[in-house]
Amino acid sequence: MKSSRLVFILFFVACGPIKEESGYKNTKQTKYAKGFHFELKEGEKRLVVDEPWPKAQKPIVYNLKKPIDRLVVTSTSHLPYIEMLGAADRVVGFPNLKYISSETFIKRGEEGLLTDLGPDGKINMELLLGVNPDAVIAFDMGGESQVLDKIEEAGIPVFYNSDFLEQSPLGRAEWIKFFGALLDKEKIADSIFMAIEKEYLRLNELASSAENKPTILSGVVYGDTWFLPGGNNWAATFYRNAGGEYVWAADTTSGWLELSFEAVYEKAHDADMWIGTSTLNSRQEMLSQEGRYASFEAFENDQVYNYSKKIGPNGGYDFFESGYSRPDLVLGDLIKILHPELLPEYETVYFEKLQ
Amino acid sequence: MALLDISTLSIGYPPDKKLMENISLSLEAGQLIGLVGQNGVGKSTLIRTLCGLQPKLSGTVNLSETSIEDLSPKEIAKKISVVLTGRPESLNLSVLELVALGRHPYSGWLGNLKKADKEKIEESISLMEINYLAKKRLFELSDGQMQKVMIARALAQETDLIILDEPTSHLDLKNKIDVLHLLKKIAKSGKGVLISTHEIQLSAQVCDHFWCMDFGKEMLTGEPKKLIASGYLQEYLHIPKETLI
Amino acid sequence: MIESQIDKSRKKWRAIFLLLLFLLALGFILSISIGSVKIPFSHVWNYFGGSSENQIWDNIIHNFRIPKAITSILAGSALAISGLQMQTLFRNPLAGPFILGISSGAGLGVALVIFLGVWLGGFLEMAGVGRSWLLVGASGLGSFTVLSVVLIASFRIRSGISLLIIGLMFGSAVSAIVSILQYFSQAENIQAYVIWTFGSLGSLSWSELYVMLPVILISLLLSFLLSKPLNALLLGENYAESLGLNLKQARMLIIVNTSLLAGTVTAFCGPIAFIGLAVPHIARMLFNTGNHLLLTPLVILLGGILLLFFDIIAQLPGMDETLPINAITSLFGAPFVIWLILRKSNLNYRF
Repeated sequence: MKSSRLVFILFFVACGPIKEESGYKNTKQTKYAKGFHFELKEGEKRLVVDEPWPKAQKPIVYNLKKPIDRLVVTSTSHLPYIEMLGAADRVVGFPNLKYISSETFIKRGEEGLLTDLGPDGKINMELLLGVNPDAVIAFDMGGESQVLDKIEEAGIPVFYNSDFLEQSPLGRAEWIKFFGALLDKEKIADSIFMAIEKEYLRLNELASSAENKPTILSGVVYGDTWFLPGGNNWAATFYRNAGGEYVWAADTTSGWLELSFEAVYEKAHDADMWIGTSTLNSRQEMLSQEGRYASFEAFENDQVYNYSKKIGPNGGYDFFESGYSRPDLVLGDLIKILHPELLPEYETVYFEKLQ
Repeated sequence: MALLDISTLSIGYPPDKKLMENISLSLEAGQLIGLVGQNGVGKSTLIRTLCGLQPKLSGTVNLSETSIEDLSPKEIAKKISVVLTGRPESLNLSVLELVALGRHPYSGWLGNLKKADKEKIEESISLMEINYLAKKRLFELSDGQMQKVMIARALAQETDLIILDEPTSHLDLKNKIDVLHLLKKIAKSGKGVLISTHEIQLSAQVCDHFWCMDFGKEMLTGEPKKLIASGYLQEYLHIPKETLI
Repeated sequence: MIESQIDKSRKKWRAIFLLLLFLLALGFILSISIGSVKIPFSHVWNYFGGSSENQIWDNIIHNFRIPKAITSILAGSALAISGLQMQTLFRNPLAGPFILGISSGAGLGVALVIFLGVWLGGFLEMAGVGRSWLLVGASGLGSFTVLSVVLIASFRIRSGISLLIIGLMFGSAVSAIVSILQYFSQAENIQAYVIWTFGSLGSLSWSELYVMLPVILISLLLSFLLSKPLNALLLGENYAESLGLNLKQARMLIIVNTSLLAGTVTAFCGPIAFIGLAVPHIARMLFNTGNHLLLTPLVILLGGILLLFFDIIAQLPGMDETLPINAITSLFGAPFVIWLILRKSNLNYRF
């Protein structure tokens, strides 16, 4: 029940991970990310993805011999990393361009430099082969393996990116090094991450000086079920680091909780802040979907915030695209919401108060 | 006064399947009439047309001197009751509940039974001599019992005219005789009874008249014994003369 | 003799109805007392007594549990009775409230709003129509469209079976359109749609209940009046006509009534499975009757009772989590029906 009931995790035997060879030294170059690391042997570098998909039995090891010039990406949240590395021009294909919020990539799509590989959101094999990519960067939350296996069969290397399994915001942001290694831009990746890390830690330090800790409620109800982040979820870590007290902080789930309305109401009716309301972007929209939202104190006191400030040209929330790679901005936003006195000059990037 | 008066009636299925035309007949109170003829000649169609279950092609059908077209379905149901071939579709009813359904045209919106309704039900059950079955459920009944129950239901409908489609098929000899005698009893009580049947020998003994149908011919009517003796009946039924005596 | 028999059985039925009413009341009280949040029974008692010690608990009882309990009863009764009427009308034990494509139609309406309705939704929101009402309206409109087609067909077609097949075909075609919409939709929208198909009893607020309640109550009353024609239909369509029943009119009334019941419930709660199909059978087997004058109130009560208790199970008392109601109705309902059939006395159960 803890993980979304919609995600049926299927186990597929990974095809062809490189056999274990001795002599490689684990160079622990990641500080926060737990999902990947690098190994070195006589100047030759290997990338190891420890848990390529949820509950994977074996790591996958990638040799990084030739740099990748033509890349296919499958998740919008991977695009900002590549953009930050200054390698946007190497992305040649993406399934369903309509999902993208980044103006750089939208423009490339309009210019015909970025090919839509599947207007229905699924990768069309023929279109994929047509753009002749050097590699595909994929993610597998369970169930996508069949398509990916087929791509590998066609001789195109598939790099599994499992950044979504990271529980800490910095851990997820550190996956920029994964892209840095693939694109032969390791130094830039390291320096970008160091800057983000530094800013994040500074903000974290700043937030810890706050005296009060506002309590936080999150999520909205769908049908009979209230979906909200577990106490170990990426979002919950943000709330903690921003100097807030998430009402479900004691929970140990890293995925999502599915609770009844009344359980949420009892526990969070007097929470100070309500952060993250999914697709509901105004107070009126919230009430029209569920009138009982009004009985939460956070709602009554006009303390409802959503990540709806930055919406891409195609209507997608940029928060879900670039937010993962910029935890410093997300943390700054949250601190501005929870402790406005700490960042008087700061202007939020993703979050806004619902009108 | 004729209970049923048919003149220049054509029956069949529109647009072009005419089974029989120019039928003119009448049925008086107290009469038991047997409708005979080969399979497919249109006996059931005639019965369904008379009951208003199927539109006629042309001609008139009068019930107690009122045209059937001027009667609402409910008024027809108070003048004609039917027993069709085959079992009712639901067998999850008690005999009592089934017979009570005969009161449908008389009961109110909710189908509640008044005292008069209950008396009529009881009378019908007694007349068919099936009191011992009253609490049984339909799927527990034999074919013979079922037929009597269905006739009791028709009686409870309190109509002057009762029409039965092959009431003796599927029954053993004893039950055939039982049912025919009960029908004779009903006719004698002042109702008009019309049955379609293939039991020529047995029904010839109880029916007052036969109406005999054959493809493309006029309806043959008359007393059963005379029709058999003259050999017309055998001719209409396409059987050797000596098979019926 | 006959009269005394009828009077004797009347006593038995009175006892049965009293028992069912008691179970309904018990289920209602349990449903209000049990939930994810532990509220002591004494507090529930005090809530009805008018005194209050805990505003939060009062709020939970008033805004969540009572509407949900009422919704459960209404939805259970409505679906069960429309299942009964469809089974009798089509003489088919596998018929249910959705056999004519009501839920497919509702699903198409909801799918259109969820998958394509960004602009439409924005437009209506500006006009002051809420999102929840948008789904209700779309679902109702979808049901109504399917219903209209089936009704038009019902005037042209005499045979119930042909009508049934038309309904099934129409339902399949509509489902196919939903699949296509789903195929071309984004993950979040698909999830929203899938959640709708899980069914939901707890998402109705009082303002929605005020609309649902009278519609369902009026249709339930109409169901009582339809008992008589339905009884006549037990003999078959020919007999029913020979008893003076206006077949087309009765059929139309039955279809409109069941569609109103099932369509309203689906609009507000999503497609709730199992109840409509199984409760009529449960009632016939438990109480051994096919008479609609008895079955109608029996099925209404039993449907309400069962959905109430299924919802209590779905709340997983004592836990914060809940299960989708559709999983529970079938998971617990199916073994119950199998058990009923396998009981010796029901081995010769006749539909």
